[in-house]
Amino acid sequence: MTSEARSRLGLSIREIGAGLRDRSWSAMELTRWSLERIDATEPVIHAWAMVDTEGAMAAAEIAQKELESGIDRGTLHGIPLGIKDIFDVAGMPTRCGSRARDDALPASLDAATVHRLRHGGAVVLGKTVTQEFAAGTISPPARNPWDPERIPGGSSGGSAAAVAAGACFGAMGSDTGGSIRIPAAACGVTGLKPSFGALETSSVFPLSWSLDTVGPLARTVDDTWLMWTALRTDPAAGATQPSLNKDVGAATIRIGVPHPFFFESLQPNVRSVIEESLETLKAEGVSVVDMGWPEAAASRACAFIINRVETAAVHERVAVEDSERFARYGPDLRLRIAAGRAIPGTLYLQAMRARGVLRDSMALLFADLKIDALLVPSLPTTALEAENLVITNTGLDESVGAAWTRLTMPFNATGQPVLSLPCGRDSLGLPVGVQLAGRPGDEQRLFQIGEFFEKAWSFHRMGLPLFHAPEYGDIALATGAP
Amino acid sequence: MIRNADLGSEPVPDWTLNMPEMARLVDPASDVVELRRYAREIAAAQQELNGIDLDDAAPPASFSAEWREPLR
Repeated sequence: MTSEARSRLGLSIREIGAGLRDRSWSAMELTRWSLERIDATEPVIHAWAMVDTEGAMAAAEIAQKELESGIDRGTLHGIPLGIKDIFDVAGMPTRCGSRARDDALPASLDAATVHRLRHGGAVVLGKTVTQEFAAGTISPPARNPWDPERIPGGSSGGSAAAVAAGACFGAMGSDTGGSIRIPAAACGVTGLKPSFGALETSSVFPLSWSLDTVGPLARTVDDTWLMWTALRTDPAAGATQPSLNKDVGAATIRIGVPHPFFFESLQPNVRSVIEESLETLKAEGVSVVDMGWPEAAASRACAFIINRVETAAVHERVAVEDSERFARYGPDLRLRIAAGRAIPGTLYLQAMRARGVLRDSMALLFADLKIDALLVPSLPTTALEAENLVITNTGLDESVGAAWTRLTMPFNATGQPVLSLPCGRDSLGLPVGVQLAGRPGDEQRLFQIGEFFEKAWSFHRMGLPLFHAPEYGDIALATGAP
Repeated sequence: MIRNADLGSEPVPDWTLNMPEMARLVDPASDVVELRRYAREIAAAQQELNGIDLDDAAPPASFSAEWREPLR
């Protein structure tokens, strides 16, 4: 692959689309570049569970012919994407990252969201690596493009790593306790956990029905917005060329910064990047309101209980009736299921009742303080070394799973939309992400604010995506600055 | 079988120690540390939830209007 082709993989979706339409390159060239990029990065990053070379090239050919005959499906037309391997994609097995599904047959239909992306002209490259059944934050064997000795986060770790590595322009993930936002933060990309219920989850393997959401990951806020808009477009309604009103003045933005829950027990390197980012926003004229959300810890607990019990229920039949298949589950998931089965039904129902109280408490905060969004860290640490999965310097004795969902899970209970985007890098060059949590159903406002913040923080001008270590220099993207 | 003593001395609700079924599904010899961690996490979550005043809370959504409506 030429360095010119590599640098084009660092362009934004709008820039790539413009090149397709003015015939600077074709959809086939673009897809071939992505496939070559996968070949180059996979020996190190392991982000893909399977790649459908033939299917992707065939879809690109159709996209190109359509463009040449005047059919334009919108901003995703001809854009190569990845799909987390818990979504059904017609013709490919849904293995969910589990040996227990080695014998899964190819799906006959696309999941509803995949159908919408394809209808918008997107080219599906293949399935990205997920932590087993979307339950966990490590996503082996995937690694982090910012430092391949480190994990990408999870469970949508393959999706985030593939996007950060420049192998695709966007990818689908799922988020039940943070599984889009966690890898997005660890890999320095943007991810949206939509409002609960905003996107169909049909033909996506469930983790916890009452909390599951699916959503996009991409390099920039605008790229993520374009995917979101395609996902929200009814195929019967025809093509759209969405635009986001970017005329958002700092003076119109008012964010809440809830203490202490989200700002205690952070690694010092994360805290300093977040504090610096907040100072930048204040200097830009954004109103920052210090506040409290006393129910934050209870909200996390509520989501935790619901998640564990429902996960156990999803896998109940296999656990109880199919010991041979259950033995092929990884030990972490077996343990999670066993623990979920031990939780009393009364506690589960109290958590379900508490959810309404927590949602109302959040709505009251937004109304009383007249805020557009909450701003909180996405993770208490930066990406961990794969061979040393221990949480240090947070002041808490936590497992990786507990620590990495501590700041994301509260919003799965409230069901509000949350955008995670990178705000800076620590002294090791590892990305730090923040969450913007908004009003239910108002993703558009989050994107408007997110785009303003993205510009203020200049994360992408620092050189995303790029492998830092010199030994990976031959697969480094020369530039990715949109 | 997992014994209470295996889970350490920190106080956790009795039901988190009721783990014969858990022992059947996992390897207690290698996972006892993780079981202890889980028991602590679940107990902590229960304590947090107990802090929420549910006296006036509605029933879970799935049992509310959509289910009652057809019975009227």
